[in-house]
Amino acid sequence: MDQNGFPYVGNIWYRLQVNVPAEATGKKVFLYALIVETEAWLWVNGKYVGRRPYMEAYIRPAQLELDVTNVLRLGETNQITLRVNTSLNPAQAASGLMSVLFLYSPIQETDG
Amino acid sequence: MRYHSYVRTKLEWNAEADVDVLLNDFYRNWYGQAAEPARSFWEMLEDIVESTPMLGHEDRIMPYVYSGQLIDKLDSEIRKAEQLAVTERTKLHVKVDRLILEHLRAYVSMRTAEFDGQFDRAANYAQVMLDLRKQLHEINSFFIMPHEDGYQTGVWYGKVIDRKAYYQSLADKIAGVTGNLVAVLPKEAKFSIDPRDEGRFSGWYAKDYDDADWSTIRTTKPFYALRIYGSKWVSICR
Repeated sequence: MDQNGFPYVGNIWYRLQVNVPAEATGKKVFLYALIVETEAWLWVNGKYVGRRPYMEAYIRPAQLELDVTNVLRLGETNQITLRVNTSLNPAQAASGLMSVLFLYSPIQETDG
Repeated sequence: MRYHSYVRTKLEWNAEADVDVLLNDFYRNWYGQAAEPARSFWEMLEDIVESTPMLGHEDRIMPYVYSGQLIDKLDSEIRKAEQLAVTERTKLHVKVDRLILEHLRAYVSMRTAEFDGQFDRAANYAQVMLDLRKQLHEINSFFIMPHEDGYQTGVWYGKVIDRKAYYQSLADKIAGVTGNLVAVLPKEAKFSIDPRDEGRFSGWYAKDYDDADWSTIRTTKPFYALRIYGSKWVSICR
């Protein structure tokens, strides 16, 4: 909200850094966020990964889950960047990103 | 809340009535000797909602409105009321307030666990909420339904049972059931609004982009918890 009381709607950006252990070598890795309102684009280390399509802000789950295997640098610090669009409807009061973010490796059938 | 109905009904018969007198009347009759801490309990809840700078959907702002310190203060008032209530009737009324407080505490604890990435704990707190709802329903069916079959909305805001299942699926992703945790990202991120859509053309996504003058935000907090003062966005809540 600005000094005149207008709620901001539009694009917002988040930048984070994360150390990724080398133990994930050879495994698929996904970035996961529980709540992203209403649409998002993801870059890792400057490389575009993908988009979480638009969803109405009140719909749940509203997760972002994208495969980052090919752009992640294991054993190094990685730069994660999200561009989020809150939609142009202030009535939705979209919160942007509202989540802990984590990287996980799914257990594949061949793992067992 | 019960006192709202009481005061509203009285005002419909006499719009000039003194609300403070009506509230004293309500609390004295409903809670007996526990009236004072019971009133303090409800007024604390009203004050925090009235004074919060947060404005948004309740599920997004509640974790930032109902703080741990507030819940401790509410708990203190309920404990006083529990000691002062004498009759079975007033004890039951205080017990209802206790169950409501425990439900709020479980909700806030569930969200805190969610924000910390402790999804198994979040699922456990969701179950605590479900158990408390059954107790409230047993006291009076007007409080809440004992199950959620009638609440199917398609979104998990309205169904704690769906929320519990979702948290459990996340716990499974990171605890070796369907996946394993690789890393949790920091709780704080560098943050900037982009009203003219410059970022994608100016490379705000670049690995070495200089974000030193960006604001800092907790990733679990709605961005509108920041307000702009001059050119700087600062947090308006804890």
